[in-house]
Amino acid sequence: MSARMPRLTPVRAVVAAACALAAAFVTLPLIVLITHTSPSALLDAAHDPVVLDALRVSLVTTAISLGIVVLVGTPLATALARGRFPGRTLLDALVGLPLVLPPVVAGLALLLAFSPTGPLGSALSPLGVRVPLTEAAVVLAQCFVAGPFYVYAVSAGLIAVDPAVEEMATTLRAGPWHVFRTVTLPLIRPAVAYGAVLSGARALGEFGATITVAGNLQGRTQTMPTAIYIAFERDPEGAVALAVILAVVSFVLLLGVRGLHLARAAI
Amino acid sequence: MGLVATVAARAGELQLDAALTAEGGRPVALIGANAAGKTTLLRCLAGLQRPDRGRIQVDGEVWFDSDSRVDRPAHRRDVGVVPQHGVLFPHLDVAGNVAYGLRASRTSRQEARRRTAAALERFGLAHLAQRTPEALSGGERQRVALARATVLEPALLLLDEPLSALDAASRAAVRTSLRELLGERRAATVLVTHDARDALELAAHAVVLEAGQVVQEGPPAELAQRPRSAPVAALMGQNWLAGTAAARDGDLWTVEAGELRILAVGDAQEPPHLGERAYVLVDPRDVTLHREHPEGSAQNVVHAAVASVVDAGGALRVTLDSVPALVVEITTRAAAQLGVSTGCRLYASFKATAARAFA
Amino acid sequence: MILFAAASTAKVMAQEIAAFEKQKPSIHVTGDYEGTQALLTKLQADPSIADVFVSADSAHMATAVSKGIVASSRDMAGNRLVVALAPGNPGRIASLADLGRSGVHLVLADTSVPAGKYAEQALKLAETSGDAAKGFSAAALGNVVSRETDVEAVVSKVAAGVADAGIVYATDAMADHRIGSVDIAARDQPPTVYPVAVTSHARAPVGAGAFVAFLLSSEGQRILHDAGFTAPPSTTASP
Repeated sequence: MSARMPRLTPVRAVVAAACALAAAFVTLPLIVLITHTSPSALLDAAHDPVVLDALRVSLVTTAISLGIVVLVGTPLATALARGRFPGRTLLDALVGLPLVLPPVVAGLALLLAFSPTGPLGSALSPLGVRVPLTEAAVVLAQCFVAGPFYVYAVSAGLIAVDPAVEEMATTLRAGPWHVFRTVTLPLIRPAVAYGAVLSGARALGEFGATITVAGNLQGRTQTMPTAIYIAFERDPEGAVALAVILAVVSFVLLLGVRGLHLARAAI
Repeated sequence: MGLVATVAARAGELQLDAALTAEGGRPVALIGANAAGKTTLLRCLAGLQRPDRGRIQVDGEVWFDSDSRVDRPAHRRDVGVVPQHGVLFPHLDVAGNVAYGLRASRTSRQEARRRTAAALERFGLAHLAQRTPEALSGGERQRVALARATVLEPALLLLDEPLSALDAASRAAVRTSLRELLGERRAATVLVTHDARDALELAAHAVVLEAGQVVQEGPPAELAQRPRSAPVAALMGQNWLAGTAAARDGDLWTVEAGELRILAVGDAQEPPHLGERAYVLVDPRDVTLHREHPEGSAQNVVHAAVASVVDAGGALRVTLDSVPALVVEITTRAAAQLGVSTGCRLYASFKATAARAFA
Repeated sequence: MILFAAASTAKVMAQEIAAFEKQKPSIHVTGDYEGTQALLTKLQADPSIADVFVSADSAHMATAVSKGIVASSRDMAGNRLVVALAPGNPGRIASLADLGRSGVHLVLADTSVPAGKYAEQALKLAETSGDAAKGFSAAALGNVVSRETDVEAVVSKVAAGVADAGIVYATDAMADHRIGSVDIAARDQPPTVYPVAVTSHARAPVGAGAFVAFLLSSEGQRILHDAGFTAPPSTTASP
């Protein structure tokens, strides 16, 4: 062993083995996926209007879902982390329910709730609002399934903030909103970024709930995961090319968010 | 002008019920043991805790009044708080911490920059302006906390044991900053401490809090000289020996306290009554320690083992296991020469004139 | 012996197996029901994975023949398409032609599955037969709000009332009491056929042959008929 190498302790060996195992576990199937496709198939897929439509639908709905999740999820996380109200524990468990529910079941539940005879659908249909089988249903399914990741991450971040620091800000003329903006938010920024990445990634890959409540229509409700599923029925090799495109797009997005976060942290 | 407050509040088991006034330019020390209600009182004044009843008025403005239902939130009170552990904003550098209150109160950018620079200069922090809190020593952090709270020139400055978390060296430096600051301040200041020396050195007035009640108040020196209860004496660092007035010879009284027979001068205002309960007050700095039995004018000699030795910032407080226990304060240098250590038996002596007997 | 059968035949195949095993207790049949394409993909990976293959259309069976998975097939049954109606018929649909009316929310199976292909053919046939106006097919396709991955999903969307109508097999409509249905005229029906074949690499070719023979026997055909299946459009076997 060279002098620069850290000494191999049993703990380090276990950690290194776990890292190697995890890296292989994640990358090997992806490598197999990529070797199963040819550059020409990838090129064809990248020019296929069906793929471009699906990619657009996926990115637009994911962006909207993430916006809604952040807007609604941040106050919800605050209530869960800070609130002292009856039923807080119950609410906390409810928020996590979509995590354990199989996505198809979640989709079915949403479908029934928003169907014209369902409790929410029957309230909306006199207004002429139809949710199932629309873009709104795609966003709904994504928010339902991906929201808890954000809420739990931000809630954990908030719990870790020392309340004394926020109190100190209030003694320095800062009102509640100013404290949140200038103290709380900067302190939970890593948790917010982490939650948004988890939630966005989950929304981008969402399939089961989406196809159940939003259906599948090219250019409107057909997301990348749905397009991949459909392609498997029609042309398994083309489906692999689609899957590779989704994997690459997701990876680039994750990398981009990481880089953005690091750049911000460096400022 | 200044602070006029009466506060009734609950803090866990404790029921706080205290009146406190602080004139501008005359810092008030709030002294008390742990869990006496000092921090609760401070939090009520700052607006961080809502009193059950009471009234808080600063420079003529009512901040809280349970009768007329006035309760200004903390950020609308012209207050400055320096907590025990500094509690700096970890995501802001030193300058950002100091400027925080100015920014929050919408002071113009130029004005904020000028005042921040002045505050950094004043507390000797100018060279640390770009540092983050985690890169600071405990003393530096506390000076930043002082700068941050005072840059707003608050009508009420609240200092919650600002020195207690510091090591001896940085404590001396921060104490100096604090003394200069309080010497110049014209507005009201409340300093919470459990160290009599802080009160004696920094405050013009002292209030002793015990179990949520004010038990005694007055100039700090007077509190040290004439404590009216054992806890006050202990807080002011005095020996308070309780016993019976056994004999009198003119001005000199013999008080039997536990195993000790103490010869003390009777207090002019409250002399003891023969055969009744009496208290003897001895300043630990007036007691001398010896290896051998002393031969001299000292009338009181106690032979006992050392129970504990505590560093009191430049001096050592030695507690002897006599009954009642006797506390002696000697210099570190003297302690080294004597070879003071826990368990060793020593002679302590003090003159009758250094001991005062009360009824 | 292992049976690979199109998902739309799952219920009737279970009945066929029960009847067959009563006749031939020595042979045990295990059924695997999935979309035809999914079954074909599995067979391509391992041609000996199943002994009998029932496809939901002749196109997939033709692929199986061309890939050497099966040597030849027989047409087992046909099916009819119907218009499935949401509970209460909120779209007020009385005929196939109504599916072209603007504002109707229509759900079809995706064209990657046979039911989707048949549905599109039926729309075109209605236009050519004169049962619907010119431009009907395009109008109806414009009313499509979702292309479901299988017929069962079309049925469940219509049953939930989130779409006004869908085009499904008569057998599916019969099996789900929540939905109503409107018949599609015989001249607008595309020829739907379920071919059956013994695989070339079958591990139990004798049992497989017996089971296929049973499906084509009068008793096998009666069970199919009772479940709503029709006789195959032409009884000639493909080469």
